[in-house]
Amino acid sequence: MKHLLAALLMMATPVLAEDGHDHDAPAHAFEIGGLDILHPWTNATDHGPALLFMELHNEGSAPVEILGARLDSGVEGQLVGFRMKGGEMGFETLPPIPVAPDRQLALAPDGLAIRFDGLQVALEEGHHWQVILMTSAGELEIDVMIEADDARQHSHAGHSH
Amino acid sequence: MALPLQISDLEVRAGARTLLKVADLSAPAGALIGIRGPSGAGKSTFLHALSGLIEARGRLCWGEVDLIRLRPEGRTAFRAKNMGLIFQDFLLFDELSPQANAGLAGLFRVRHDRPPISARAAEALARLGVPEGRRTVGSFSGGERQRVAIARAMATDPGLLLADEPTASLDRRAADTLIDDLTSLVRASGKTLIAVSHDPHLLDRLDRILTIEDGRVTGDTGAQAA
Amino acid sequence: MREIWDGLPVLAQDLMSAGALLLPLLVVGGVLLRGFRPWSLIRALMWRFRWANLLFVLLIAVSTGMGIGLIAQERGLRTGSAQAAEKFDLVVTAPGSELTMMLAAVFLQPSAVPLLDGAAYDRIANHPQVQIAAPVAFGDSHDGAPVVGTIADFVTYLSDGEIEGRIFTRSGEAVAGAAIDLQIGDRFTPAHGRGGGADAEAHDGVQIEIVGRMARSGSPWDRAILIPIETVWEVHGLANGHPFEEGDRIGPPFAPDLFPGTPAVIVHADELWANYALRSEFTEAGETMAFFPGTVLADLYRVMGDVRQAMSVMSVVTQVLVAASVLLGLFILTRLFQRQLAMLRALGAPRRFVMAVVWGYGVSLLLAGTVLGLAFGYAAVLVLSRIVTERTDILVTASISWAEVTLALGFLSAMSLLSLVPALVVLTRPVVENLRQ
Repeated sequence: MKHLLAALLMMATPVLAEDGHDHDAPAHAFEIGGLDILHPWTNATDHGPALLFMELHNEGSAPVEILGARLDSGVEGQLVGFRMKGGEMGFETLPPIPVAPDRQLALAPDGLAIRFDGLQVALEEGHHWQVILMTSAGELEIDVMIEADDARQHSHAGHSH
Repeated sequence: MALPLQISDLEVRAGARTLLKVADLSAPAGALIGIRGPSGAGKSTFLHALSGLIEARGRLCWGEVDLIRLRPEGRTAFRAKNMGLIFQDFLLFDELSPQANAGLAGLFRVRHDRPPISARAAEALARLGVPEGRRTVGSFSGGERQRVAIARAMATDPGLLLADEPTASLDRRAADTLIDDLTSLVRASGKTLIAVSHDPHLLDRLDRILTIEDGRVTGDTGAQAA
Repeated sequence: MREIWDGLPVLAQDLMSAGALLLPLLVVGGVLLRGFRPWSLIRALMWRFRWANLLFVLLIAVSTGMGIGLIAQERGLRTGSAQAAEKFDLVVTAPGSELTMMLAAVFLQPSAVPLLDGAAYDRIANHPQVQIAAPVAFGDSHDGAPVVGTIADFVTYLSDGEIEGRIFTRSGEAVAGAAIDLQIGDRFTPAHGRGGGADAEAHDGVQIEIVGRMARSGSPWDRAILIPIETVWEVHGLANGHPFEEGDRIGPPFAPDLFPGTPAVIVHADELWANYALRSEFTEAGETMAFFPGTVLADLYRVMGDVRQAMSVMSVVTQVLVAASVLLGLFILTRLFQRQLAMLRALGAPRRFVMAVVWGYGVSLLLAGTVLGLAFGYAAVLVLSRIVTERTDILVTASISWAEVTLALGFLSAMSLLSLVPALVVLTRPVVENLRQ
């Protein structure tokens, strides 16, 4: 419930939408099949790969699998895990990850992420990015905050916890 | 091939000062000419003008080519093809063998020029009696060094040899043998030799002596003969 | 373009970068040297000024070697520490500093850390995705080496089963790390604490027998003595995690209420992805903290990377200064042989040939210095690695990689362009004036 409350608070907070966004201020929290998605964000980048991060909390009664994500343009994002191998940092592609009821899963830098390769457009800091999250409970369009290229967390993270 | 020399209204200036002025001078191909005169009179300047190393005005023709009309790189190329230079203090690479010094021009000439240069260098060294072997010229006496320098000047088979005080760094005996060898080698090959020198032994062996004083030709033993 | 580049094998990328870096050198060299043979003259000059040249080459070599050594050493340390932590997928501890916990649990650095209780351990050990949940208990030592209590499965996992002798099967037995100076069959009494403050008499009467020895792993665990965690507890007068009726059995499962606590639990999951889920699950506010040592190291390397960059800048500045002084020296040297250069011009050598001689001379010095610098750098890394390995037991291997080669080539290439300056200056001096001197 804490998350939901935080999410409501976030939505109530006016967010500066960039020019050309004439719909409502983008949200920071989303829900599908009991799975709460909080603070989706990514780093600004000129050319991929882009790593998508978020916090997940299964508030429902059935496990939900995180499959990956895709863009409207058809580009698919894969679940990857950060690994240190032989002193080199890198990512490994992972199979779908289940989130059991009442469990949480954090997609965060140097951990889990959904990686997009071959992006056609640059992701600019301060803008938003529409991504479709693919889960076993269905697909959901989420609004991803684009943070600075060296950001290590969502700029609103910490406010809510 | 030796070339005739034709000079008219040659003038070399340094700023407002005239260093050298030669109104009219000619010499046939194959002449052995000495240039004498007091220090600072303009002998070396004349030699440098003849070799195209300094800017001058007027006409200075070797055969058909007016050096003064050529651009600097053109003069360099002309020198490479037609002139051999001999210096007072030899200017050799002490670290190299006589063969390498004498064949120096091969280092910057096109590939097919290299074997003949090297062959002529060897031939000249042999005729001048320079010891063979791998010894570097650093260990050579003055006379031997100047022989290597002469072989270097001959190696490209130039028509003209220009020498600046070739015996001034040598003792009398060495100078005399060198004079014998140089003049006989030049005469045998039909080349033109122009030598700036104070050495009467050398000047005595040449065909014609120009005297330069205060930047002008004040004496010419061969004016009528030519 | 970028996609084509990204698609190339790493070696091809490295070779192409090296080629691109060398391109200015090759182009200038090709243009200047084409058709000429200046090498005998360059050799003559090399020999004539051999002591000055030797000094120049050594200066370049030392400055290049320093830069290279620095980068290579940093990478060696990074690779070595990462490899030392490779077996440690996920570490669960009481909440605190991840760095402190990692240094304690993975690199066995002595520090006082809070304990996880039996319930917390039980939750971790019984998680369906957890294959090994190894409690590790440290604090005792023998002859400066940490004595670490854990479970047999973890010893097998840590050593990949490469154990000389056998694994411990009862309390009072021990498996020694590869660098431990005890033979199988030797007995020792652990001291309480580590380092100068260790109390050798605290555990008097306790005798632990070495029954096995692990193969070398290149990690601080080479210098550890592993014993059953029950032994650690018993030696300290605590319950040993098992009810009385279980007799002398060691290893999991432990009875939560008889579990005296452990500073850290090393978790190994059967599936790679599970580690990420487990990290989320075992991170519970106020109770447990789960982290990937790899991630903590990555953070550390980022800081190290900044330091390395600062040091790289300093070493590049040093190199540039050295190179500048070498060029100045070259300048002075050309004055010493400018009569001969004038002679070459008088003999009819083209300007390009004279430039080729001066430039070739400078580049030969730079090339010799750079190659020697790579050797110096390698030697420095070799020595430093040995020292670091000896002191920390983190296996640091010395190697020169493309990063260093690239640095050296870039320096060489840039300086070869700068060497054109003295070559050009030589040409601006009038031939006749130089002949006259």
